[in-house]
Amino acid sequence: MFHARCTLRRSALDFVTLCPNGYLFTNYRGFSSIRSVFADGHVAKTGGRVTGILNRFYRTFRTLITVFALLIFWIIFAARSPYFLTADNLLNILFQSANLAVIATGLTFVIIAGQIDLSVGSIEALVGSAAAVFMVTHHQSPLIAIVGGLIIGISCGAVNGLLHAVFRIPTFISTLGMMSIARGLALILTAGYAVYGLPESFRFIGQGHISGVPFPVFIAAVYMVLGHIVLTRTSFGRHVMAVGGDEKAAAYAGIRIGRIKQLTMMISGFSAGIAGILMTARLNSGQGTIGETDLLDGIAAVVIGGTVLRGGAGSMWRTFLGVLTVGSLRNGLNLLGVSAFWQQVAVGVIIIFAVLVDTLQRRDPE
Amino acid sequence: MDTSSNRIVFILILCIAVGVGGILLQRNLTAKSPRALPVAALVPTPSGKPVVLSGQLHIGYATETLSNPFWTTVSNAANEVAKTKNVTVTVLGSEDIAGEVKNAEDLIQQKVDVLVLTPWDAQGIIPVVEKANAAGIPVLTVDQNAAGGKVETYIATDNVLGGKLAGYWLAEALGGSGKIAVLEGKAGATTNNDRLSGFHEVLKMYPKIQVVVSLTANWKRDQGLTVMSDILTAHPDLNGVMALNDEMALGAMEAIKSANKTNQILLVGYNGADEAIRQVNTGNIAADVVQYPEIMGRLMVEWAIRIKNGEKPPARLNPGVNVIDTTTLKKAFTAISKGK
Repeated sequence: MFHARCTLRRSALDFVTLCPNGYLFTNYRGFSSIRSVFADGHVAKTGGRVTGILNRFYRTFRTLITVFALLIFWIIFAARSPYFLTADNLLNILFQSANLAVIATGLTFVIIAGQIDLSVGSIEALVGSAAAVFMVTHHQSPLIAIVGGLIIGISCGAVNGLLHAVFRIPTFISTLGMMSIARGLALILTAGYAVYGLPESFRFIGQGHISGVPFPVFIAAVYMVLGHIVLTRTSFGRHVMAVGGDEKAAAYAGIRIGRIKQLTMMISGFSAGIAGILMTARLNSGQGTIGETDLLDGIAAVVIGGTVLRGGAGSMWRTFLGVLTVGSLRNGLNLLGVSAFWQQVAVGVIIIFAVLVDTLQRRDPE
Repeated sequence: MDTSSNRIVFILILCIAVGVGGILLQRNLTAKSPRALPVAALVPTPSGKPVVLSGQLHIGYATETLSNPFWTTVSNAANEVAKTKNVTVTVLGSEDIAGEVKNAEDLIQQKVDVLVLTPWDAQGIIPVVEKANAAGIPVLTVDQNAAGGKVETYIATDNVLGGKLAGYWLAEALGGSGKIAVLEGKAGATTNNDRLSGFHEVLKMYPKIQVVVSLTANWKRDQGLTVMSDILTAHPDLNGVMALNDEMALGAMEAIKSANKTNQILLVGYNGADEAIRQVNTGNIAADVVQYPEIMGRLMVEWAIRIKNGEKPPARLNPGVNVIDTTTLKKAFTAISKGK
């Protein structure tokens, strides 16, 4: 049933993998599907989504709708506020969305694999607080503090994954528990206070510039590009898509689903950790309360971009679109003086609308 | 199935387009921007010579959560004064320091003339204060201060005095001896520290008064309720409670009511919120330290104008503080109804 390796064979479709046991795994433009190729040559669908011309059209159409919606928001905001479409403000949007972009990158991997990570906001706070405490109470250098913090982030993600892999607890539940645990630990570490007195060099991470581009934007951009490369050009990325598309078929195709899911949870924890470091540097203090809106905004960004929550399809480009949309929405509504309460309503409405558009277009013949 | 879902999506896009078109059209008909028309506003200055402001002054106020009526009172008062002086105030509320920093950055982006802040956290707000300093925007703080950066003036009640007043009232009302609990606000907040220090300083003079527990409820009503219930379970013979803001006091009040201990426990609040004062009238809350958020709002706008005209404000502005309890409140109401 399990085969260690499948031969890779490129054809007109990208990334076609023909496995010795006859299972054909294709990944075309963000879609994965697994069909069984029988001895007499006929092909049957065993799972995943249909990769066909129609679906390709729908996916492009979906992306167009997202871009269109984003443009509409920009037009509305630009019309109502003379400050919105300035280069300064656009950079401001990117700057404010930097930690959201990092979290959304990690969440993309998790959601494509068919899982969810509810603990990203709490891990962000925990890693930020831990790094601050390392630097202030234990007088470590920023580098060691960052490394230590990121190790904590990866560990939280690993725990999330292990609870799922070993004890079969759904990631919804395990990350729900971790959300509470990490938040509690962050508040314990900081005792509710702000941990301040961070070394000057650390501030650069949140407030420095590289030839005009704020450093967090730089980090977020690099991280997203890396994420995109891993997702589209490595076998790991393809396996993540397969696991999300159809777990059983992926298992038959020789993919170690437990390991893939574990790794995606660790990536998410790592991303939340980086976001925590960025936020701590921006506030120049360790705060145990950060990240509470980042969970909703992160999932919103991934979903608005067009990655379906069920998994099996998605791309970093979509997430980037989603991050831009959420960031522009919040910034634009702020510039218009709309209260934070209405902003929350707006984000929720947009999420529902985005998923609605997805549901209307779904083509699932099975 | 293809065509029908296709059609639905097309209709949705059509609706969006019509909606956007409508908004843009409306926008053009009622075109108004903060700097559209130069407006002459005469503002009296100490030298006596009136100064003409060309264009409206735009004040940006990034504050704590607007679900706390204290901040809505400050904002509404500021808006009312702003209307008479031809000034606009943009108020952005937030739920935590990270949100507030984003709001403040957006206000700086809009090139507000003056930035007013009520920081959730004195440390976390420093980078934003420095950003405003670098952009040449004067910064004022209201009620909570920033621990760094250049702040023109700090408008706040003398919270140390307020804490002392509360301490005196509670100690005297308890006859100099008893067990009390304290509900604290957010750890590290300037107002929290000030109120606590004043409170404890006075209590030192009453050695028979014992603070059995001091827990935080983070300025929030629901946390005040839960923390108070737990305290009541652990200390059934409590005599008094000092809640460092009215939201927590109102939550604690409900907990005390459920435990049927309203007659046994003297509850003191802090802020002077409308709802709390009503409860002082009914006796559910024994006393309340009254702040003047309306005056804070007014001072914020008035001094923003004066700072923009080049005047140097005092480092600290004090709107005043008082303490009221059920007897004084009833006396005040009788006096008001008698037309005095």
